[in-house]
Amino acid sequence: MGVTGRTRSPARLVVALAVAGVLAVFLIYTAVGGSEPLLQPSNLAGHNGNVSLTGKVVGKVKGDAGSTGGLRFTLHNIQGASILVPVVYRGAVPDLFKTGREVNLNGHLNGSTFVSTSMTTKCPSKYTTAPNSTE
Amino acid sequence: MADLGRAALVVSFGLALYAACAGTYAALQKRNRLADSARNALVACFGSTIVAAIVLALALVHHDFSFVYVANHTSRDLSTIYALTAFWGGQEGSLLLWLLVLSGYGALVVLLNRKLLRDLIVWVVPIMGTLATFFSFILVAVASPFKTQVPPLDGAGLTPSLQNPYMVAHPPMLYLGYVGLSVPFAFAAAAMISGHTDERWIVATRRWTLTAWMFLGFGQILGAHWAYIEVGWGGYYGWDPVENAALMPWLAATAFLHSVMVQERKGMLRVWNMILVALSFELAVFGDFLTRSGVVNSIHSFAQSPIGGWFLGFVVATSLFSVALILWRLPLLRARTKLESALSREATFLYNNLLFVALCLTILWGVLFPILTSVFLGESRTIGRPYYDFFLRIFGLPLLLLMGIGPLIAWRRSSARALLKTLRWPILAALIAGGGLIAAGAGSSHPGLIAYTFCVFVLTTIVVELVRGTRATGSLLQLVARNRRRYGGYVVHAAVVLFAIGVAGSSAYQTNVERTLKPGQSTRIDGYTVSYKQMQKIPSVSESGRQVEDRAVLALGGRAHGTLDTSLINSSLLGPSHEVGIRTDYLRAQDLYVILSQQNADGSVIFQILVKPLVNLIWLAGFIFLGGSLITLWPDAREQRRLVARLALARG
Repeated sequence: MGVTGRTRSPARLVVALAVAGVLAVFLIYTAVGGSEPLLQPSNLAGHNGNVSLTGKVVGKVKGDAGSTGGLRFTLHNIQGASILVPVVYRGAVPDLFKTGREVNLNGHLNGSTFVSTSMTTKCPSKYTTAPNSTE
Repeated sequence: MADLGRAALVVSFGLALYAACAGTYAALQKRNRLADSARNALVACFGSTIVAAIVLALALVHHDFSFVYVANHTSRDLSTIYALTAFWGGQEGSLLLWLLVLSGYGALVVLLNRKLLRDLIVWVVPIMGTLATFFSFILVAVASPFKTQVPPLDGAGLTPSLQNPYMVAHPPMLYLGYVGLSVPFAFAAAAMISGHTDERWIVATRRWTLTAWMFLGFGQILGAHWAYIEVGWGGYYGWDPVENAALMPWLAATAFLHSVMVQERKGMLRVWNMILVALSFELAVFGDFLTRSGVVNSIHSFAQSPIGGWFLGFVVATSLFSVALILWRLPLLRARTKLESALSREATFLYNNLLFVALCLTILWGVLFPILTSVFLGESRTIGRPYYDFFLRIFGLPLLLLMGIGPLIAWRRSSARALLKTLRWPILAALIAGGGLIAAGAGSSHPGLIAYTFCVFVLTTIVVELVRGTRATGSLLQLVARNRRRYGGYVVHAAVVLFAIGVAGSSAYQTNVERTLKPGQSTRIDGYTVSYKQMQKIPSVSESGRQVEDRAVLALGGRAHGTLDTSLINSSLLGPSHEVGIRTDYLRAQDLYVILSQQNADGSVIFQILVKPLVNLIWLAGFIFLGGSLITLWPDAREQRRLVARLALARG
């Protein structure tokens, strides 16, 4: 069945409407809720709700993640200058966690201390520079 | 040796540039001999890249630390096999692998199609040449694997987490997938530039797209299994940007593989197919940009490298090129037929495509969200797992259902009555299964229940089709051999169903508990008895420094017997890492998965214990997916005849 140049296929309308609808749903869903700020130590100040904090572990790691006192360490921006944020972490310690590692934490600020119960260590996998040059 | 590698890459760059420039000129001026010369240059580019790859491989195997790359990614005590895998363990080597695969695909595709598709190949050569020019330029000028230095006594070694058998297969498979998507992109662009937008480019590239798609899909399953057994968090997919980078082009390519069938058969969705092929390719390169730029926050750690900017430029340039081509050739890409009914196979394929693309864009939106919020709101925000899980259900469950309907509904026009008649057995089986599952207590998770019911529906449609076909031909083998494409597709669909059952079972119905046990104490979980017997301390010295392995020995009872070990390894160099204990129950396809979370001062240990029902079906699905893909890929004389017939038609 031939189609003249002026004929519009209903398929096109279905595609356009569906894509538009889907995009609208994304925007509403993600704008209304479900997202949280993704911060580094340098821009953590002033955020009182739950945030995702990324940084590099510096200095000594003290305490015990299973105890009430928690695991205590300090976080610095991965790159560049930043303030040092004290962290108290309670929960399972992820693989390869140690001083010098980059970590992602979920939690909130309690005074000047960041309190977290969820932590992942960034996997030193592909495309990293050699261990001796990063540590 | 390094000079030879550098020279080989410069030659590759020169040949690729020649293939791009001379090829374009030859195609525009219709100069056949120059076009042949450009084609030969593309083939030769593969040759010189092989030389460069051999030089790097030899340097890795021989621990030639005068190569900066070798010193940064290997050490003397690294075994030969892992020294070789360091080829793709670092940035420069990965880029060389990309160029090697790209030029290899390019050489093979132009040599195999030079006669039947000459009018398209004259444009495929400069397009593949341009892509190869970009990668060889990066390797020559920005990130050379052949930089040299005064050799140190020993190298830095390969990151221990990469010293794993999966490192041998997982990254090369992904590369074969990512780069393979360049072939349909080059053909689509060639079809548009040459104005020969008939269906030949689709027939010619079907196998190439399938090959890339197969590698990308299987590579991801391997990566998921690697994460499951090694990372020690009880999961296999974390919706991390780097994982999403591989999933997005695979989803777009899956949509493309379905919609090309509509174009081949009905001449419809021609613009849509061009968009999909460009989207698949762009997402593959964009994935490379994500992994190299460090622009998004990932649990995978990347070197902050200037290469990201080059890749972003490349993605933008090739995207603009694709959009311009499609807009330019819109009049030629008009559909020859139109959709007659919302109840037809072509309509079902359209729905399937919309869902695949919607899922792909959802993931892309999630990946880009931190960047977009940072640019437009001044604060980077991130979206977590609930977002992805929610949309996976919204788009994934209807996709599962369509997988049962699509292959059985009639082309052009069907009726609700005819459809119900065709699908009566699958619907009956699904209803019975749903009722049975509710009675068995599977109603605790609604998405899980729906997924299982849909899975039974799809599996029954496949079985009904196989029975019907076998009755007609007399033999199942003959049936499959006669129409490999159709029945290979059914095998892939069966794999997807198994995969869905595995994902639904292991996520919706898993048990995940934390138990604190002292030596001699036991706990019961889902029919398993786990008794903590003792803790063994095993000190050792390795290339990762001094380490102490605290190994908890568990005795199993109930549904499993014997002992199971799980460890917490404290390395002086790397910090702590977990070795999970996994006991597979093959009869139920489920795993008992134990992680030693923490040792307490009073001698007790916190164990995280998971029972993951049906998780092993995911890995089984991977192999069935591979088998089904190979069936559809197997050479088919009829397809070659169809190509010849279409060529005759195109020549008028």
